[in-house]
Order: sequence, then structure tokens, then C-alpha cells
Amino acid sequence: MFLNIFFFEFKNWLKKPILYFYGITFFSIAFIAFVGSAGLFDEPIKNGGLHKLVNSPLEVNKTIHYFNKLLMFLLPAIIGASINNDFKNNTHSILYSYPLKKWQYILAKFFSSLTITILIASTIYIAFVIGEHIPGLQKERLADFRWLPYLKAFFLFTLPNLLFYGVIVFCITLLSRNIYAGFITVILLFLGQSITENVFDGNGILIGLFDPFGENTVNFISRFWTIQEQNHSSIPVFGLIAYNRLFWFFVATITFYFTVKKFMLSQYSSLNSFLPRIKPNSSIAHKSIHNNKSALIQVSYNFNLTSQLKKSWALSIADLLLIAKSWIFYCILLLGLLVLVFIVGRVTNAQEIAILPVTGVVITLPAFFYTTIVMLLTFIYSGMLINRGKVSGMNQLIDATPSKNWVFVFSKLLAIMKMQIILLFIMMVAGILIQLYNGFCDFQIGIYLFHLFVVQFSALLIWALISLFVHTVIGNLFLGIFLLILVWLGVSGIQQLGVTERLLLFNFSEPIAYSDISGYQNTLKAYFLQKCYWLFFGLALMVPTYLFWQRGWYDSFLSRFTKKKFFGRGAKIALVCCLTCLFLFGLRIKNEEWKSQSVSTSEQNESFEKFKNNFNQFKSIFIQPQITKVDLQVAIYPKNGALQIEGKFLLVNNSEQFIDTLLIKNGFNETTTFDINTPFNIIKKDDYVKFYALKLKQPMLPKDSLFFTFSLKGVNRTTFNNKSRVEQNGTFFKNDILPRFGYFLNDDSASPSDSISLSTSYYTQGADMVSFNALISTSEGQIAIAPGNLVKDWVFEKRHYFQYKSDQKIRNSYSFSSGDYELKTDKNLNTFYHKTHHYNIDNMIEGVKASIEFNSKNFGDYGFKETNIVEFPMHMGSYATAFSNCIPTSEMRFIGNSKNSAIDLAFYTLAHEMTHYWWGNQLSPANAKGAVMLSESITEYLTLNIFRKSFGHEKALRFLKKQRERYLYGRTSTTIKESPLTHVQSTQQYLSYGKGAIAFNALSHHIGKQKTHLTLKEFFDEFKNKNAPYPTSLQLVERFKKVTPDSLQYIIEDLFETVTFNNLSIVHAEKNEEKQVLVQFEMSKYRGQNSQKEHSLCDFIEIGFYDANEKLILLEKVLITSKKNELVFKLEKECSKIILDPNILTIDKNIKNNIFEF
Amino acid sequence: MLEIQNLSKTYKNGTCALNNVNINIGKGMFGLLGPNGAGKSTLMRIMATLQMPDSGFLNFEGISVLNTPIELQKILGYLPQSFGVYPKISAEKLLDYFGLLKGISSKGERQKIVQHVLELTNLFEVRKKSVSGYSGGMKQRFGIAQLLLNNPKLIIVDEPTAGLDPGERNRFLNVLREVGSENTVIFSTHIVDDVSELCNDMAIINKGEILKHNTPKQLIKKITNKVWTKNIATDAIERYQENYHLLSSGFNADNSMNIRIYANNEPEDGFVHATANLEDVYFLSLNPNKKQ
Repeated sequence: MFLNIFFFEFKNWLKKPILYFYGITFFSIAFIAFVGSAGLFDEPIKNGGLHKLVNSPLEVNKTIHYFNKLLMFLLPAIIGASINNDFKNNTHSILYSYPLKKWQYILAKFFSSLTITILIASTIYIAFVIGEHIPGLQKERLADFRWLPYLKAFFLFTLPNLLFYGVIVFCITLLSRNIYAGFITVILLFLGQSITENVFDGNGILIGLFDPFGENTVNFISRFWTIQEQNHSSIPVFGLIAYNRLFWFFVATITFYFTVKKFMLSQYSSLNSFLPRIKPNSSIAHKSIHNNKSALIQVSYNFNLTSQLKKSWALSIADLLLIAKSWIFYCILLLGLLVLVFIVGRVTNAQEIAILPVTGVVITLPAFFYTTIVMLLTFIYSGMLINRGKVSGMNQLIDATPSKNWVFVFSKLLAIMKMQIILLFIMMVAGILIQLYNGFCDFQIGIYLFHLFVVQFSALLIWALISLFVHTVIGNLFLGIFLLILVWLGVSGIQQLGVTERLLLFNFSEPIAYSDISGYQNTLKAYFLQKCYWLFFGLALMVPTYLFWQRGWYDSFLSRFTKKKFFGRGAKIALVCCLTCLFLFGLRIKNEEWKSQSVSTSEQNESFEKFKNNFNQFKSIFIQPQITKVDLQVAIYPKNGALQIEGKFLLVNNSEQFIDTLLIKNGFNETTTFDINTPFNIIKKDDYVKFYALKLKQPMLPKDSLFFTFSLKGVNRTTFNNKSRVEQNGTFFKNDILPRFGYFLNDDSASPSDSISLSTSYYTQGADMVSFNALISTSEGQIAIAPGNLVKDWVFEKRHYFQYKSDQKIRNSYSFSSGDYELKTDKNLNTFYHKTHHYNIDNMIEGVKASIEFNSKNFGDYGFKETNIVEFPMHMGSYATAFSNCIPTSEMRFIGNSKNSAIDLAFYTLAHEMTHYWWGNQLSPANAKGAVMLSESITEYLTLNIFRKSFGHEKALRFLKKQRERYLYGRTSTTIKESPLTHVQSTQQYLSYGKGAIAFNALSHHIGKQKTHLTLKEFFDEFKNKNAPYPTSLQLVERFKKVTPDSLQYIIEDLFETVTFNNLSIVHAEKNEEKQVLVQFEMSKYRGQNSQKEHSLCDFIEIGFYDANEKLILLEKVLITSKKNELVFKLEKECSKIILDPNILTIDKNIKNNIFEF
Repeated sequence: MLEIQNLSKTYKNGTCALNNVNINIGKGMFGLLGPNGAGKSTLMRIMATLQMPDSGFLNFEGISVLNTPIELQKILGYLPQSFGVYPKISAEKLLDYFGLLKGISSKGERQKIVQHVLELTNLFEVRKKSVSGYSGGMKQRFGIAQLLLNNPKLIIVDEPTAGLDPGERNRFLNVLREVGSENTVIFSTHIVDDVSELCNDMAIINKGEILKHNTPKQLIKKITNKVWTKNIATDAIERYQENYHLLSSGFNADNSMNIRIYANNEPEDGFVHATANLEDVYFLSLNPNKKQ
């Protein structure tokens, strides 16, 4: 019986054209995606090197996961529909009375439709396999064809996913008897993936374990894979993947078991069975009409335009009620909000940089996610509203009423729009609640309203229009939703294939973000241009929607389109108007694009490759004259984004040799012209890369100098691909757009023992310490800030001029800011901030003050009259940096949340940056590995001391614990091999900051602070404000070695010169009545990144004893020479806790077993 | 007056649902009688603007139905053969919804007329219950309630009594009779009694063609004294079928058979005159050519 029904159903499916439509669609997408990524449409790769192979097991897996997700939408369309058709046609009541077991019938239906889905899924694999064998692909991107990766992907993911979620969709449809339930289930699965990603943030194993699709599972397993491994390693079946699959298998089985059990009880809808059913009430039914009521009371009927509009409005409310009544709607909404809270919470409670939930953050962070949910709901509910009459069977009654088609179209559109607005409103309320929960009350309602109801809503409205069109024309709910999802995914899909034509990318726009300072950074014009274009496209679609509105009876699908339509004058005018506007906006976009003239990244890379080959000869030219004097006139025009810089550099030959070749690199996007006050020839140039090689007619002799003058014109502000450095408010740019000297593509990874590295500064190649003078002008209402002291400022012809001059020589790095700032002045300390961002200023000022006080005492006076902290917009980064006395600090730090952070970030950030005035600005390390040890590590160590002085030992210890975590976490998520601290590279911040702070602190703890600071001061004095040769990390370590007793030399070796870990643990402890405590503990040391070999010991370790109030009773330093140790201590007070190495002087991966509690 | 001229409709699969139908229907109750598949519903749907014919012309009191459907819809009340309703919505709310669709823009007036039609169809006390839970008869009365909302001049009801128990059927016909006296009510059915009880004008349709169009009385009058009846043994039925114009047959309680035969004279011994009824007319129309 089972097989009979199975084959009957199966054959039935095979007769349906839609099945072939799905199959062909999946095949085509998969085929195009595969041959596209295998380079069929690209130019051949020229140079060799390592490429990601598109058919490597990992890559096959990744692509398949994308398709697996798309396949999910087939489950409700095929499995759900198969179950639902029975209910719709009422066949179930007949079939259930046949002599067949219900479960047989149900299972047969399920498995036949599941088989169909699997057949469709297999077209993807067929497409891949065929794709591998077609000619014209790039060999560099393909490995030899193998079956195994495909088979694995199919049997590990595609098949199980279809089975698990097919079962769940099947169960939900069976229980709810609701066609939409299946779709919603799929959306819930997607939400589930988001939730696991957010809830288990930072814990890759759990994310991998619970990911419904197994996508993150593979990502987790392969997270440390190098390109080599990515190309050749196969996906391990056992382990996490197996557990993930088992988990979801278990979930599906449980769901299935309970559904079948419940289903067997009744043929009535289980979810509806508790709803009251009325029985015909005989007492009412027997009444007859006695008096003559046949004359109907008179009411008025209106068919004019206003009443039709009113009718649309009222109908839309009735439709909206339908949405609002469905429990599924609330399920999605609830989960959507949950994810929203997680997304925002991740930022407001982040351990690293917790930030305040300012409105700009609360709306922009989760906006993409949330509007995607609203969009998917739009797809589903617009289909539901359009097919509502047909599904319920009420369409015949409705269609015979005197209502024009446009009234229906308009009412459905209104209903969807209202749904969207309500959902956006809920997001706004949720945002405000999140803010309230965080005790943050500066709600910017205006931003909420604008961002949600203008910016986001315009995109959603376009989706609503196309949804109405697709569902009306298609008339099949499942196919309609499927097509809409294809459109949505297709937009990003065709972009990957290289289609960048904005007029073809439906409803696409570049991501936009909001910052309080710089607003939308001039992206709104582009955004709304594109939205207007697509809005008119959508409105134009409303004409065919109106014409093909399904009303009454049609013989067949096609007859709806061939029948004579009432293509009236109104419809024609509307269509012409929409198309005209569409055309005009398209024209405008093209025009703006033409003005923007963007260059694709591939073109850019190609140009640089070409440059590298052509200019190889200059690579070995290291000796160049150094900039020693900088004179600038900077004109910033915030309104139109223009920038004009006139500059003059004094170049001096500081070397012992003569120089006849000058290498100049100008700003990439800017237009720069230059001149030198001595005759020269340009011997080679690349106008694209803006690189010029000059031959001086008279070579520069040692100590010779020349003037280099230039005139720089910034890029114009453009609608698309805006590269202008000037914002309407909050302009911030650095001197990297100005001309530089020397070959600029050299690697920075010279060894510190290499003497050639000593000649250039790590921070400023081609420049020594310079004297700095800048005249900046900006619009009248703005303040401009640069390093140096403000000499004077004045207003002339509606321009505000600022003259900055540095009394002393500074490092050749500087920034320019301009904005409508509030100013807070505390003695000589100015903070320029956006008017609402006052939250952290006091802590910042404290940080700067504490740093100046501490460092000037240890390393010499602070040389500037004043210090300027300047806020810059967060889209330029979340960092802070120090340019002499000017400390540009990201908006992110200004809206930081000190309460939720482990340490006071505002204080820390500014104390750290201010310390750079000494270590980094005055002392500039050589351009070699280990450079950042001299700047960042020392600064971080000094900041720790400032922290200790201001907040006490406890807080400082917490700071150190953070550094320890930073180091240990950081080293697990990097691809570059971990080096010793002395050879740290600039990208290895976990080393320079994290390990650096621990290393210097441990050394200082053991040899004494005084000795440490004295050594640092001597080193500082020798190199501060000096030109080449610049200092290296090895030189400093050498000095420390000299002042460190032999017994402690191991610390330098362990923490600075090697990668060493200690393993400490308390095995046992006892105490007697005489307050004597016996401690048994173990210690071992491993040297090398993953070494298992124990290193010999002769180390000092601290043991701390604490009372019940966690107060320190005794801190004892002991010398350890063997692994196992047993010591007895005499205490003065009752001890309740022992901690091994409480001050974090060693690096121990597990510190939990260093604590013993009685 | 509804005028139908040369109306034809053939479906894609070749079924000719209407074949050059010409008929004029005046005020009062009009019954459209025909077997299943005769083309009744197609005709009703075309009259109700829900379907387009291949050719032909429809005119109701000066309104061209095919060209300006919306004008007809304003004065049309239509109850299809089977219909569903939005689930979990009360009768009151659904009627309000239909009131809106039918152009009653004032909320107060809508409430008034909704209450009125609810009383008229005896649904007032169950107005808060959802219509999807109604019994068959209640649902049909709801159908009448909704069609009354726009005070229709042309009422089209397609097989409304199918599946109703006798009590409900009577109540339904009573309601229909009361609302139909002043307007044109077109009422299709395959149950002869519906027509004889209700209609002052009728037509018999089969295979897309109008076979008869007259008042029920006139039609019966034409065959008065031509219907004969006799009780026979069950196994003799074939003989009568072959030799006479058999209209209908039925079993008696004693398992003998009662047959009705159309003939000008007494067919054979034992036949007596039967009172001619509309059912006889109906069967005669469907099989007019059976010769004696």
C-alpha cells in the first residue's frame, strides 16, 4: 500500500511543469556560478602564485552550503504543498476513510515529495560536474576532477539538511494545516542560525555544533587552514560535523515522533481543534420571518474616487488584521527582535570596546538583518493576501462586488506597507527599550524616524511593489515566493559574476551607515537616486499588476494574459509617467556614475602588478633625502568636498653619500603637481600609480638641501564611489595623501639585526623629525585642527583660518580635522567633540593628565603648550592615534561605555596615546621587526603603571588580565607564525600590546621599577628627537640584560626572546591550627610555540595567601627548580585562599588551577 | 429585464458549455433547471460578470454587462454554487467587509444594514460566531445576507439548496422569496421542487442549450392528461423502457415499481391518469424524442 501511494504521488509530481522549472533554475544557477568562479568569463590570470581552487573540498562545501540554503525554500513549496493540497481539496476526509493506515498514507506522501526535492537538489551537483568538464576554464583555479568532495557534500549536508528540515516542515504543515507555516519554519531556521552565531559569539565550537545547516561547522573546522590546506585538505567527517548532524537528526526525529503520535489521534487539525466550533442552534434556525422585512432599509452607495480610496484604506486594515492575527507572525517578530537585541548587545557589552547604545548604533547595526526579515515577511504575506480569496474560496463573492481592480491592488499594497511600518516601528520601540535598559536616555527620535521610515522603508516599499507584481502574475504562492527569493539572491549573485551595472541590480544600494558627526557621509544622494529609480520601476509594474489582477474565472493560466483587458487611459498615462521617471532617474544615475568614474579593484591590482614589474630597478634605492621642514597651506571646503593643499618641503641629504635619484610617490586619488628648486629630469613615471623617478642634474652632496614645492587638489565629492577626504562635518585625513619619497612597496619585515633597517624610521620613511607649520582654512562655522600650537585664528571672507606651528621638531606624521565641534577646555587641554558626545570626556582628560604627569616625571618634559583631543567619525575607524600634541580619537571611543567595559577605556585610550608622545613620537624605532615593541609594548606597560597609580593595584591587575587574554586569544586566530616579542610585526597586536605589557611588567616586578624606568630613560634620552640611526628592540633588550642579575636573566629569555609558556597548578594544600599552611604545587615550562618538551627550571614564583575577605596576608617569592614542590608557610592570619602567581608574571594558559580555596 | 443574445462558451478541453443561448428574463423569480453539467454555472458566472463568453451579448436594464461589468456589479447580488470565507472571522465583520466592497462608505450605515440583513436571514444571534464554523444552511443564508447588502436588482443564486436538509431548504427558500419579489432573481437548480414552489418563470437547460422557457403553470398545462402511471413488477421495467416514453420510475414499499409514462392515450391496461407535475416536464424536456 505504501509503495502504491508513493509511486502514485511520485508520478503525479513528475507530470507537474513546476518541478522542471525548479530543476532547470537550480541547474542554471549552479552551472553559471561554477563556471563563473572557475574563470570562464574572466581574463586569464597572468602571473603564477597560489590560487584558491574552486573545486577543492572546502570550496565545494562552501558553494554547496549556499545552495543548501536556497533549497530550504523548496521544502515548503514541495513537501508542504503536497500535504496541504489534501486539505485544500478536502481529499483528506475521503482518503482517511479508505482502508489504509494513516501513517502509511502520510509517510508515502512525505517520502515521494522528499524524493522530488532530492531530485531537484541533484541538478546542482550535475551542473557542477558538467561545469568541471567544459572547456575554457582557467586551469589555475581547478584541481583534477574528483567525485569524493561532491559525494561528501551531498551525503553530509545536502541530503541530511533536506531530510531533517523536510521532516520539520512536514510536521509543522501537518499540525497547523497552514500553507505559510512551512515558509515561516524555514525563516525560523535562518533566524536560528543567526541566533546561534550571536549567542555563542566567541565560542566557535558551540556555533559549529548548533548551526542548523552545518555551515559554521565547516567554517570552524577550517578556520586555521592556510590556502594550501584549503586547496587540498578534505573535510573531516567525524568530530564536530558528525555531532552537529546527530544533534539535528535527533531534533528532527523527536519532532517527527510527536507529530505522528499526535496526528494519529485525529484527522482534525490539531492546532485548531481547541477552537470553538458552533453547532447549528435549532432554536434560532426554526424561527421564521413573521413580519415583512423584505423592504431593505435605505443606505447610500458611493463609487466616487474618494470613497474608492477610503475603501482601499478600510480593506487594507482588514487585510492587516489577518496578518496580525497569525501566531507565526509573532513568532518571527519575537525571534527577529531577539536577534536584534543580541546584535546590539554584542556591541554595547563587548569586552574589548563596549559602546553606549547611541541611536546611530542601535539603528544601523541590526538594520540589515532586521529589514531582511521584514522583506521576507513581505514576500510571504503579500502572497498570502493576494491568494487569500482563492485559498479561502471567498473570491467569487468578492469578485462580483462593484470594486475596481485598482482598489484591490492598492488595498493590498497599503496593507503590506502598513505591516512594514508597524515592524519598523517595533524596531524603533525595541531600540528605545534597549537604550532605556542601558540607562541611556539621549534618544534621537529624528534619526530613528528618518533612518527607519525614510531610508529603510523606501527599500522595503520597492520589495512590496515587486512582491505584489510577482504574486499577481504567478498566482502560485510557492512559486511566487521562490521567484522573489531568486531575485533577492540573484542581485548579489550577478554582482559576483561581475555585473556592476546599477540599472540592472534590482533594489541594490551600497551599504550606508550613520554617524552622529558625519551623518550618512554624503551617501544619501546615491542611495535615494537608486531607490527612486527602482521605485518607479516598481510603480510601473503596478500597471500590469492591475491589468492582470485575477478576477473571476479563467480557463487556464495563459488565458488571463490573452483575454481582452481594459487597458484604459488612466493605466496608459500611469505607465507612461512611471516609465518616463524611470528613464530620467536612470539617466541621472548614469550621469553621476560618469562623473564618479570608478576604477575596479581588479584593474587597480593589475596596474600595481605592472608597476611592480616596471619599477623593480628602484627597489634597491634606499638612500633618499629626508624631509626636515614642512610648510603647508590647507584649504578645506566642507560644503562641496573640495580640498586644496599648497606645500613646501625642505629636503636634506642626511647620508654620507651623494644622491642623484629622487623617488616620489604622490597621493593615489589626488592630483598633485610638484617642482624642485634645482634642475631635474623625470626618467620614469607611472601616472596611474603616481610614482615618479627623478634624475637631479646636480647630485645632492651630503648635508645638501633642496626645496620641494607641490600643489595638491583633492578629489571632488561624487555621488558614487566618493573618494573625497572632506566631509560636511568631521573631516579627518592624514599626511598619507601628501608626496612621499623613496620606493614605497618595500616590505617592512627587515630583521632588527640588519643594519640597513637602522637608517629609516618605522613611522616615517623618507623623513626625519621635522619642523611643522600649517595654515588651515575651512568654512566659517567649523574649527580646523592640526598638530602644533595654535598661533592665531581669524575669519576672512567667510573662511575660518587657523595657523598651527610646532615649537619643537615633530615626527613627520600629522592629521587635519575640520568640523563643527564643541570645545571643552581644561587648563591646557582642549577636547573637540561632537555636541552630544560628552559621555567620556572627563575620563579622557584624566587619562591625558595622568599620562603627562607620569611620563614627564620619568622621561622629561612635555614640550607643548596645549594638547588637543579631536573626535573623528567612526566610519574611518575605531582607533585613536597620537600626532605629537594632537590626539585624533574615534567617535567609537567617545561613545564608549565605561561601565560595561572591564577597564575604563576612555582613560586607558588617552593615557596610552599621550604616552606615545614620548614612546613613538619623540623616540621613533627603526623600520624593522620588533619596532612596535619599542612603541606599543613600552607604552602599554607605562599605561599599566599609570593605571595602577590612578586606580590602584586591583584595577591594574584586571588590566593585566585583559592583556593576558588578548595575547592568548590573539595567538589562536592568526595565520602568521608567532614570533618572540623582539621580532614582533606591526600586525601582531596581540603580541605587541598583550604579551608586551606582561613581559615588561614581569621584568619590572622582578628587577624593580626604579631600575626598569632608569634603563628606559637612558635608552630614551639616547634616541629621542634624533635622526638615523634609529633604535631597535634588540638594543633595548641588550640594555636590560646588563642591568638584570644572572638569576633573573631567564625572564628576558622567556618573555622577550622566545615563545615560552609556564604550566602552574596547586595540587594540594593543608593548614593546621598553628596557621601553618602546606602547599603542594607543580610547575613546568615549555619553550616554542607548541612544544611538549619540558624546559629546565630555576624560576622565581610568587605565592599569595588571602583571608576570607580576599585580603592579602602574605606574598612569598620562592625559587623553583623542579616540577613537584611542597612548601610550608607560617601565616599570621587564618588563610582561606592560595593563589599561585597572583600578579600574572608568567604566561600560563590555564590559571584556574592556580587557585586553591579552603 | 435581462436580455441574453447568442451567448456561446466552449472550454479549452472542447466542452461546449453554452451554445448560442438566447433568453429574456423579467422581474420575479426565474428558475433555471438542468442536470449536472448542463452549463448552468457557466451561464450564471457569465451573468455575474465573473467569466467572459466567447461570443454573445448581455444587457440588464440598459447596462451592457460585458463592457461595463462594474455598473452591473453595483446592482448585482451573487451567490455562487460553493464558496468559502476567510477563516476565523465573524459574520458581522465579514458582512461589514462586503458592505465596504459594495460601496457603503459610511460606517454607521454599514452597521445598520448589516444588522438588518442579519435579522432578515435569521443570523443575528450567531453574528459573533465565525462563518467558517457555520452549518451548510447557515452558510447559505449568510450568502444571501451578503448579496442583499447592495440592495440588488439582479440576484443570481447558483444551486443554493444543494446539500441542505429539508428544514434548512425551506427556510432558505422563504428568505429568498421574501427578498425576490421586487427584483429579478435567477435561481439555478437541479431540484425540480425548488422551481415549482418558488418561480413564476423558468427555463430548462441541457448541454448548453435552452430547451424550454415558460411559466411553470403553462408548462404543466401542456402535458395535462398525458402522464400515466402504473405499478409494475420490478423485472418488467425493461419492457416498458423499450416500448413507451418512460418519464420516471420509483420503488414502492412492497418492492414493486411505480412508473410514469408520457402518452397521448392510455398505453395499456392498468395505467391511470397521473396529475402532471413539473418533474414530468423536466424529464420530458431532457428526453423529448422517445417514440412509443
